[in-house]
Amino acid sequence: MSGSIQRAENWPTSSQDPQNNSAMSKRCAIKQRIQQYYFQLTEGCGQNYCNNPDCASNPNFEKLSSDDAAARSIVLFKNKANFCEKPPAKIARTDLNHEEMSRSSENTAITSTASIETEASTSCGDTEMTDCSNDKRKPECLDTDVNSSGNVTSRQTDERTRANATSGCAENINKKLKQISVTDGSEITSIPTEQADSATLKKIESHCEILKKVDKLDYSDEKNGVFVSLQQAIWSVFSNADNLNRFMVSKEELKSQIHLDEDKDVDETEMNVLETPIETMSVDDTPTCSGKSHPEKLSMDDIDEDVTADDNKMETSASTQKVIEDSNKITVDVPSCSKQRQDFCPTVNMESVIHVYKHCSSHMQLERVMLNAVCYLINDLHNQLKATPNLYEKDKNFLNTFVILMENCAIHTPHGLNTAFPSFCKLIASLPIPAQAGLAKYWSTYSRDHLRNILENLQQLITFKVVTEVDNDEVIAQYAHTNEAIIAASRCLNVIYCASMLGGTINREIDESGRDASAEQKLNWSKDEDEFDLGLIDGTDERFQFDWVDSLAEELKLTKLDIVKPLVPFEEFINEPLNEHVQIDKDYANYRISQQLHDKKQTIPNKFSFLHYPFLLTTVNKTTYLFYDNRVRMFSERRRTLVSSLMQGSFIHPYLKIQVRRSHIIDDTLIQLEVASENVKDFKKQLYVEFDGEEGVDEGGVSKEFFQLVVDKIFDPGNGMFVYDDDTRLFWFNAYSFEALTQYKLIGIVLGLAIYNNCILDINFPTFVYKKLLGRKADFDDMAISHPVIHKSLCELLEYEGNVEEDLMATFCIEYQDIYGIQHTHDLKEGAESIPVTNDNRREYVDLYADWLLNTSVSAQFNAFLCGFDMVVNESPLKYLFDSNELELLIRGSENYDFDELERSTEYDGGFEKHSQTIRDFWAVVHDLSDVNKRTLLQFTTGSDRAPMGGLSKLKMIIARNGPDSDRLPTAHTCFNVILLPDYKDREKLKERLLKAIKYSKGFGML
Amino acid sequence: MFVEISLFDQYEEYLDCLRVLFFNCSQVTSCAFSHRFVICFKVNVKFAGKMAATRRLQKEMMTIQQSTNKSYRFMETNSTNLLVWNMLIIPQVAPYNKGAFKIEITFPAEYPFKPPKITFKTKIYHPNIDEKGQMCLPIISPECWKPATKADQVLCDLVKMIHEPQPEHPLRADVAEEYSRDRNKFNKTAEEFTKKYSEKRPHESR
Repeated sequence: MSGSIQRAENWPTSSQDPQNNSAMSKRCAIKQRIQQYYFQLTEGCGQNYCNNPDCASNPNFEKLSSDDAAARSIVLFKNKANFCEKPPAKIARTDLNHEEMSRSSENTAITSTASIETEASTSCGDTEMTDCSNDKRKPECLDTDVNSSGNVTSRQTDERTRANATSGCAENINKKLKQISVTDGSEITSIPTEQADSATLKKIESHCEILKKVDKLDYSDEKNGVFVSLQQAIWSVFSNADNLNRFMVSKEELKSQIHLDEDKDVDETEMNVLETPIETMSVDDTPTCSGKSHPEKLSMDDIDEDVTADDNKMETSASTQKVIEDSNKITVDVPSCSKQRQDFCPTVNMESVIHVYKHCSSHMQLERVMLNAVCYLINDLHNQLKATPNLYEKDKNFLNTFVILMENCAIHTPHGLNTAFPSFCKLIASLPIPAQAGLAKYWSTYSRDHLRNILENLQQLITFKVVTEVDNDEVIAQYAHTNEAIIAASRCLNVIYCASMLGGTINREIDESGRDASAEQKLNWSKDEDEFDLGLIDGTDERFQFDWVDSLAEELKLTKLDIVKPLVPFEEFINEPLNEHVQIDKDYANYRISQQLHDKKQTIPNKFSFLHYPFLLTTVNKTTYLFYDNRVRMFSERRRTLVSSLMQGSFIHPYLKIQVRRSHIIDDTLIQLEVASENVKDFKKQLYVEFDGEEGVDEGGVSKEFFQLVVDKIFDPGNGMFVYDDDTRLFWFNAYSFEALTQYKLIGIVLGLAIYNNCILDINFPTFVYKKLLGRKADFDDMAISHPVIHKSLCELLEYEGNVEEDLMATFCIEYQDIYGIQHTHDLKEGAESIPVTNDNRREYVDLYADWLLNTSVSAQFNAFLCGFDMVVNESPLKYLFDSNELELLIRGSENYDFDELERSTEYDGGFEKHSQTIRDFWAVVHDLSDVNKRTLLQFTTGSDRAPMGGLSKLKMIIARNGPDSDRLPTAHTCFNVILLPDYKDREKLKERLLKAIKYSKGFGML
Repeated sequence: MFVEISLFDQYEEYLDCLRVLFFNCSQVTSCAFSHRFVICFKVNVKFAGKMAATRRLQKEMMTIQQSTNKSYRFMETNSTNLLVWNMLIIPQVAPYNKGAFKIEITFPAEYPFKPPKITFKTKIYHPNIDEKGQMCLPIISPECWKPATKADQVLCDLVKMIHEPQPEHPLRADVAEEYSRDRNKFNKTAEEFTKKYSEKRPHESR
């Protein structure tokens, strides 16, 4: 260890290092350029008859020795020579390096194992070590070459040295040229060339070693040599993606790598021998994971033997065979490794990453070094990504860098928030979609708190940017859409959002039946529509269907609706400061522009809109977006009709006009909507309602009344279309309704129109109806809302510890009663009567029961309902913006309870009178309660926190005296809506007791 | 009947259709309309089909008939409907031990996934049973119901509640207060009620 520390001394400490971002990016760009020249010189651009005199593909080009090529490339850079049209095939330094790393691994394997475990340094160890020390000078040699070739300014020399020290491109050039000189650039197999790397690798290894042992080091003294070397170590590891990966890639990954390579080229046995030892090189072989390393140790010995054999050029097929066997043995526990590679799934040893970060962040100085290194790395990655956007396909370690960096606490410090973090976000945002998907997949395996942590960091960035960087309000609005940091962070959040969804509970079951039915109808309509359009000379008709799909979610095959429960709750993605500042009108305009560009297949929308990232927005803001969207549609419909009536001469009404008689409101509405539904476009017009014989002009008020009347009529329990449950106070479809399905369609249309025209309806559906409206099936858990008693019993059934078959005696044939009191039976399965419910099949029973009750039994009615709803909202972003809960809120508005009404209708019993002091106190206390507490009180008294149909006055609550003043809590009989209230002596006590009672009322028993 | 016959001349025909279509039986007796909407039906159906809850109810009935508990038994006039049980509660403790009380247990079609309902058909003076004969028995409340609960357990709980009133959770606050304050007066009234309204106790032999 100490040796490696001294060796690293030629590297400047961070105090000397100018903390300048632009200098870094410049440096990085220079490095990139020189590399590019070098590859052009050595490998050529790949075009057969390239006419660039400085390209290897040029037929007249004289092959250069590698050293010359390196020198020449620097000269070329200085002269700003031209590149070939097509860039050299191999720029991807990481890729190359990776390949070489595996080849050179034999050396490093031994050096690293030698430094970690002495037992590993067996027979071959000594010779290898000397080799390494000889080769150590090689990079310096190159440097002197470069210097002697003159023409290089001192600045550039400095550049080279630095890059060299960080094991940047110089090593690569060096390696590459060595290989080429031996093998003419073709298949590289010979071993001696590999030794060139070992010095730098060893240096890195030693740096890694330092970092790993960071907890054991005493770096409190800044003058201490240990501290300096730690700084160096941090710099060298964190400023370079390869080193970073080498340091922290997990064991699994390395193992799967071996496995895969074997799969690929089993015949190239030689390579296998060379590659296998990577596993021994694994930096994770620290004593901390002793439990896991047992099988490796076993195979390590074998491999060592093989290596010795290899050294002596005595490879026999037998020994390689053995290696393969061994490797197979190791990789048995990684069955999905081939899949991993396909998905570009990163694999990082998170433990060691966090370990290092923890220690490095504890010291200011170290943190600054870290931040600088990371800035450097990020700029480097930016450049790499620009040069080769599909880098991630070639190098699967590529994503690891991102995973490691995301954990970096240095970039989350206030300083980092200004510099490194935004540019890191930009980096992630600029990644191609499959790479983002890979990241999302990896992050989805995190624990909840871990992911939340990342989320909070990103939110912090957005909040920080929103709050700090702008002075007055007007600028903010513009700013939010144009601020790169906010945009980049939003895109990053999208990745996290997907990760959170992936990590949560997903139910992909889609209710196809309803969708199919309505799709079929839609098809018919669109046919009609086309015909209609043909006769319409309407050039400006811009129908805008909402078909935006987030490409990342698409890649991951995710939709919000599938998510039963995300890893991190959706609410946490909402950024309040941003929502306060965002100007929705401007943002919506941006959205429209980008949407039109999108439609015209211009792939990159240049305008940013938060509408594409709805998870950031509050429901209120989303509603406003929807409102704008609807209004814009209405206006465009109005303009369209105007234009067409001018062109065609026939007058088309610019509104959706409905004229009804109060006495026949349902009939009239049905007929007129039936007519309207022949042309779906009419639903996009603004609604205009007229009551027969009344002169009210519909500016919204008449529509509101109309909606209320229709809803009241249709939901009238006497009507039989919906079943009203007194206990839950919810409506449910009546499977035995005699009404024609068109009536259900009507109520669907009414619901859609109400949303479209911004009206709130008083409809008490269970929440999952909205989920079903969005195209998902209701499942067993949803039964808790609509059929709480059965749901609870079925839960008991699931948890029942005795013999279900004997004690419950249920079969798959279920029985129920319709609202007319008639009993029906239904077979959940074929031959249900003879299939008993047992401990084994009870889950199936429960699921079938729920599916039948909530989906199948009402499918005809519901599908008609859905179809009507879809007719109105099919083109709106509604389904994209809102989840089922928000949709419910949108339709019903927030509950507003009129407790005065309740007070008027309440009865008293047991000695209480309306004017009793306690009763007066009671109401005074109740009216003072918060809305949440009022709801809880309702729940406490009546078992449901919803107001019954017709308002709270229909509750018939009874307050009964329960003895004189005492310390007893108030109690309630939910069966009869009775509150038992002791005659408390004063208001304070009553309030205290009442609040306590409702607070702890959850899960109450009677006694 | 709330039908505008003028609107529906074929009312009888319509009923026939309904019979065939929906019930496959002839017990649809009347039907009411309001313009387009059918509001309700009066149906008198004797349900004769297969019943899923039956097996368990039959078994539970058997268990109760064979049980040695003297506090409850089935009425002689038992209906053929398995879902409605008419039973007699015979309390053994004063002030109710001078008579017997008729109750009706209604099992829902979804039994045992929904709890049965118990109503007292005989008037009783009890803090936990109201004038209409309704009661709040925890074991069959929707919150506490377990599908594995058997009818005999429910009956035992019921008898226990009659024997030991729970004035803390009264349905009749006045009775409860009397019970806790003036036990003698309560006992007297309850006895009077029992004498006045209760059924004759059957002979002890079964």
